[in-house]
Amino acid sequence: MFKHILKLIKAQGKSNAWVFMELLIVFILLWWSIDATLMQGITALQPEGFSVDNVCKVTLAVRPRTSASYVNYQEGSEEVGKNYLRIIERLKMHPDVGTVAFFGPHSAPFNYSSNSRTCWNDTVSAVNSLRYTVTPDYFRVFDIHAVDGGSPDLLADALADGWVVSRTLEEKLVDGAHLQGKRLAWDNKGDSTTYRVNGITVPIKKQGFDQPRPVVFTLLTEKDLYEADERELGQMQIAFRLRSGVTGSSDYAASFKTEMKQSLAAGNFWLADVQYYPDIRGKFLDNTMQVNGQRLNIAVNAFLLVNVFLAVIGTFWFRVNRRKGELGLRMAVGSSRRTIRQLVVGEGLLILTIVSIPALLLCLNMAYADMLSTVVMKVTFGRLLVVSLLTWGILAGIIFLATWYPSRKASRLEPAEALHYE
Amino acid sequence: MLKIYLKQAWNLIRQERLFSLIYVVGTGLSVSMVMVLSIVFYMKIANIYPETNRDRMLVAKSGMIKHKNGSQSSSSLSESMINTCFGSLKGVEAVALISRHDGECMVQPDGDPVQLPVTVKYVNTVFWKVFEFRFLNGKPFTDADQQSAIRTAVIAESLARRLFGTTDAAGKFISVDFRQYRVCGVVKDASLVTEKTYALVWFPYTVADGYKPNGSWYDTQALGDYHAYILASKGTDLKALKKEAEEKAERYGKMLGEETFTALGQPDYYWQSCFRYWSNERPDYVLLSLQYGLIILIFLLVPSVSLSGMTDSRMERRLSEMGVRRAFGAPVGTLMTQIISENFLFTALGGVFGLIFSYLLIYLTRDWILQIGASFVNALPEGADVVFSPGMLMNYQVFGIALLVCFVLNLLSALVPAWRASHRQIIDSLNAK
Repeated sequence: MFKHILKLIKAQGKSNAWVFMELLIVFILLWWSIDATLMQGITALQPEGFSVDNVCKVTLAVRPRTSASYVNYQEGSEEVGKNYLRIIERLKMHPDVGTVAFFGPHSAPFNYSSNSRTCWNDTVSAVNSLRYTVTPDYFRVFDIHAVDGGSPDLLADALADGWVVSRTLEEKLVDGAHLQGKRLAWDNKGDSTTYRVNGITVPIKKQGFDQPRPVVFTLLTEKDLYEADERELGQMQIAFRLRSGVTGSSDYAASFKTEMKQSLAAGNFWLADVQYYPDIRGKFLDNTMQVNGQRLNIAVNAFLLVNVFLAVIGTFWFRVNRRKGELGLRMAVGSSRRTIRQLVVGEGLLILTIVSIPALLLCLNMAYADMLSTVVMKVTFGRLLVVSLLTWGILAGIIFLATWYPSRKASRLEPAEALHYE
Repeated sequence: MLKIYLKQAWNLIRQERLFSLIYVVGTGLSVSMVMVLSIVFYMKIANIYPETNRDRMLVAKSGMIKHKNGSQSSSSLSESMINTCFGSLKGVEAVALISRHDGECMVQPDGDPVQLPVTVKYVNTVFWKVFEFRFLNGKPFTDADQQSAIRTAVIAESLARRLFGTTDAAGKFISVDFRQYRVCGVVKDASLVTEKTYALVWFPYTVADGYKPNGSWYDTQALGDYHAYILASKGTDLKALKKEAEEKAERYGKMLGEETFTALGQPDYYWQSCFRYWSNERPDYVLLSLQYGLIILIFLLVPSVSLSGMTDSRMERRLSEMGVRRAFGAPVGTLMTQIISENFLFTALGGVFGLIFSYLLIYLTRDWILQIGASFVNALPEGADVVFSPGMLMNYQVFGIALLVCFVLNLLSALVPAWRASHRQIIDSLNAK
């Protein structure tokens, strides 16, 4: 049967040329874009390193100076920082609230704002890392664990007199070695302050769809609070995790806001908003380049597949019509309807398989020319194999669909009528 | 003659319905993909209310400073840089400033506890000259308002109706973030399609928090809060103006003392500014054009190969007809013209289908489709919807592009089959029956 179909394909020669060409182009385009999609998929499945379930975000606003009820404080007065801490304390008193953390404006997940600095090891090796300025409770609120499985509490303690860094930083800075207990610095001058690494977290993502980036957690102290002015404090972020047993939701956040509106005001700070963190996450992910890129990718791939479908169905439709005589003869000499059907579908699939040989050669060339992204993983044999099989499989499915109707038509021919054409 | 060809083609369509359907759908898909791309860029680049002067506009959004210690800062431009470099150029009609500190504020409606989120923009008075908003009531804020930072505001029609129930809102007061502003004018709403100017409330830029006359970012002189939209007067050679402005900006950059400033090739033509996202990087316009050219080529090439295949098999069936015609002396050229023009009927049908389909696609994906080609995504403001006016989608430019696409696609998909069908040996063709 196999050899027979091969002969048939050879005999069809020129009329198959178009299908060959179409499949060749689409195979290569699809192969490339399946690889990209696969990498995106892997990224999406990687753990984010923290959890925002049951976490709410509190946004404070600062009354403008021009407002009638603005309270004036002396320059350098600690009252402003105290007001801020009063709000945090009141938040902690709420029966539903488990832990409260506050942190610098660039230290929250799911936003574009970031503060990055170069982190040095022994004035030799350096890595550009995100700097998160946080209170120890940050690890409890976002449920961040140590890379060796240690609890958030351990990390919170570790932050007290040193740094906590993410596993990604350790990997990039001292590949294979350990950073725990070593001292790192913000610059490469030998005499600068160094900080002891007291804990290492799991890899942490910043934006959900990205790769984990090196992160340095540094302690946000009360002193920092007193030194900051109102505007800076207003930009700080507050998040709290609900006590276990209480389930958060968007409605919960809204009612929490109404309930606490009065008590969460002190000095010139007032409560502007309480949001449920998973909502922030959802909205952020919905509006990213990556998600838009995926949508575009899907649209373009669908377009390619529909084109293959049309090309194959168009060609085979005509072919079956033209070969009625031949098919009739086959039936007359004993081919079953099933065999005829297999013949037509098999021809389509075999064409794809033949095409995939030159197509794969071109694809491998692309891989060798470093045209594939290696951000997520290196180009390995396994990756190429999976992508190639997927591409073949998807195209085979489309070809099966496209040849199904013509093949049915062919097998339903009445032998007598079909022979009439001969 | 053409009429006979088309008649014949129409009959062919009716004879082979399934085949024709497949063919038309295939063409339509290709056309719709290219048209979605074209319409998106049309909306980004063409003259659309209120940005009706885009074709005689230059845009400068950002600049970069090299400090003497080797580090670099980049940001938007300062008022003084814009005035020095672009204000006095010959052929410049007006320079609109838009502050990058736009964003969402809350409006407190009278006697209603629920606040409304609105998008606000801080602009200068000539903004209203550069962007021709239609005033339904009142006037733009005046130079005097701007100079003395008087709290005035121009608001959009939809907001006026929501707050006051009427568009005659000039002279009334609105409260934005608990501050009172006098409404001086009401304009017809702009769509989010023109996001650079879209807002519901426009304030004089001088009323913004922290505004200092001739202030600049960290005293860099050149960097600040503003994007400049430079309107050239009618009949000015835009290319020459751009060159002059570029040179002036570079000269300015060398006279800052210890620091050097560069506008990285700005001001841009309007279409170029759509691709400028980062303030410290000059986009590679040649590379961008190549990229989009490649995408369009793929959108046209992939379907045209399959369409060629189908046309070819259709020709196969009509070989005997071709044979007879050639036996009676029809020249190859005539036959090719016939095949290609017959095929155009198919393509045109597909084109109509494709254009309509592309409208549907754009409408369904309006939340994100305009971000195609962006390197940075801005979330839509709360409660805002991207509205398309019929004029943005249906106009002779868009129809013209669609027709051109059909033409190219038709040639791509019929040329080779036509050539093949009309160059067969007559004997073979006659024998094909």
